[in-house]
Amino acid sequence: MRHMVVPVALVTGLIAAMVGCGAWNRGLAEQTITLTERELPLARPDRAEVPEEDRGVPRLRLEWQPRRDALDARNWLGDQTLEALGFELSVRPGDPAAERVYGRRALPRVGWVVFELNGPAYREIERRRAVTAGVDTPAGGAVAAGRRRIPGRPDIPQSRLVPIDAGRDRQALLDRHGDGGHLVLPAIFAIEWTPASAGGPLVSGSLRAVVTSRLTVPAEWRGAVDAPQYEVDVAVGRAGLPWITAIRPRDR
Amino acid sequence: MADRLEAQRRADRIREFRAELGALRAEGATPLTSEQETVIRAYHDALLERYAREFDIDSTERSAGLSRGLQAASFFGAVTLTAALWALVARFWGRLDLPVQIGLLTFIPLALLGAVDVAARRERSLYVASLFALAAYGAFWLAAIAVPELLDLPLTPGILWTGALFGVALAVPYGFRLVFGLALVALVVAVSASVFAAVGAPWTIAAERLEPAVLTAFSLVVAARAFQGPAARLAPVARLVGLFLGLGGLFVLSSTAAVSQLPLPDRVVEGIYQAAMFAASAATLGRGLAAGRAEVAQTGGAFLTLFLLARYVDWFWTLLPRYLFFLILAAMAFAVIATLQRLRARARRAGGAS
Repeated sequence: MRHMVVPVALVTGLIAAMVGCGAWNRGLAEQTITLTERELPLARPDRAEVPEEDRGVPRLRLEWQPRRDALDARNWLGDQTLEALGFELSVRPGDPAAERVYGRRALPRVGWVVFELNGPAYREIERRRAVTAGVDTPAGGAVAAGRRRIPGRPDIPQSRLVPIDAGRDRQALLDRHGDGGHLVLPAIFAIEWTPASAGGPLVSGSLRAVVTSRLTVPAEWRGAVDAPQYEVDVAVGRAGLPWITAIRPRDR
Repeated sequence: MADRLEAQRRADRIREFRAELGALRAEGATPLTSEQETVIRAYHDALLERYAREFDIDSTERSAGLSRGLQAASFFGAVTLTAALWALVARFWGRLDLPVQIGLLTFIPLALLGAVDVAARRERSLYVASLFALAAYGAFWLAAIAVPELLDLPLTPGILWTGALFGVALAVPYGFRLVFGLALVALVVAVSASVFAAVGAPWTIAAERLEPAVLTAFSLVVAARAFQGPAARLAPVARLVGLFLGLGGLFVLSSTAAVSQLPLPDRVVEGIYQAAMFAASAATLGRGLAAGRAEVAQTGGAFLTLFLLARYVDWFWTLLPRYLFFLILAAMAFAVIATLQRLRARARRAGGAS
């Protein structure tokens, strides 16, 4: 049995450490926010069609407005913010080396993103969407109308979460955006170079992913996510990681 | 005699010796007197009996064939047992509360570790123990991935490090090669992930930028020389894993600069890695032949062939008419056959002279 001491210690130690981290994070809710199925749809949209015994643990996937347009990205991820995130911006966008420096070699960076829920940034996106609503899009107008299209299911209105700020210092971001309408989460940022042929030359940042973008639905609220519309209370703990504290079905 | 593998090799040599002696006797060229044969046979019988008692080796062709069947069955059993555990979790997980889920995720690998220990005591050939070990490793990764998911925590390089250490700690005392190989793969990913995490990048970028993984893999090949004690018998596994990951990574880097971190134009990066790939695979082939390590020579040869074929297709597929493209490949095959035949003849002459 002496050969098993180290493997047993490693497996129990790892699980104890993970449970400890989870408990420490959830020990203090530093932010709370109420989202809906628009911001947190089911990670598996076909869940209702799967036999009940095969459904597993439901998870909700955080959705946000990507703000992929390079010019719009510069509104919230300016040069100063990108440098604060650790990106090197010493080469000018028009420089012949810019494509190589920003196109492939620039490593993505880990930092913190601030999301605003249904605030001025989202209203600006809606206003622009209204302007372009008449224009045909590959999604058949669904995107322009602010709805997410899932084959075989009714369209879901798009998320009202909009990234508006970023940085390496979580506390500074919490001080600036610490009220109930915002979420500060760990995220991965990338840098992109737009060539002259596509409206550049331009260097812009983008939000590549949120570190914990899928949230597990606790056992007591698993029935609630089968409703077409629901509200989700989300808390963010000491480590800046979110978790679900309650889910309620919502009337249409 | 240090372990079962060495005992098995000696038993195989004894079996071959007896077969050759029988053939010589049938052809009337027996070099030994009947007394000498009797003494040697008695000594070998005693040796085989001791090995069978201590190491549960295969002393006949038939039992060796059955052993290969046992190895295949234990591998198949381990894979299906692990798949059953993962499927069980997926199926019933939704009905369980968090403490029960975490309790089960802890209990399953611990129970399988206990099964490894019990099986290893009962059966010296370790077929059943290796089955449980592989399943325990699968259950460890199930827990390492599912617990953070349940607690909404991110996967971190620390989890990869723990997985690598768990695999090594489980494999080394018993000599479980497959578990050891998988643990070394986890170790390469853990080192590479930690390098990127240390510079403020997401660790998952390790899959998109291959240089740290390639360097770590080749370091394994060098480190295998220093393996001592119970780990020494696993040195060939470390060499193979290191060579596969190192040469495999270099092959990808030589094909596309998109997975490189070098701050140079794409063509230059691909040129550098094409030269490095040719040198590394040729050196591996040469080193394997010189050291008499068949697995190293075969790995080097396979990657060298793959690389040359890839470059040939890359450079000439659009340049040459199809008939000429394939004709040149056929001519290359003839050239290889001619070269190998000449080498074989030279080796035969050298053997005859000695």
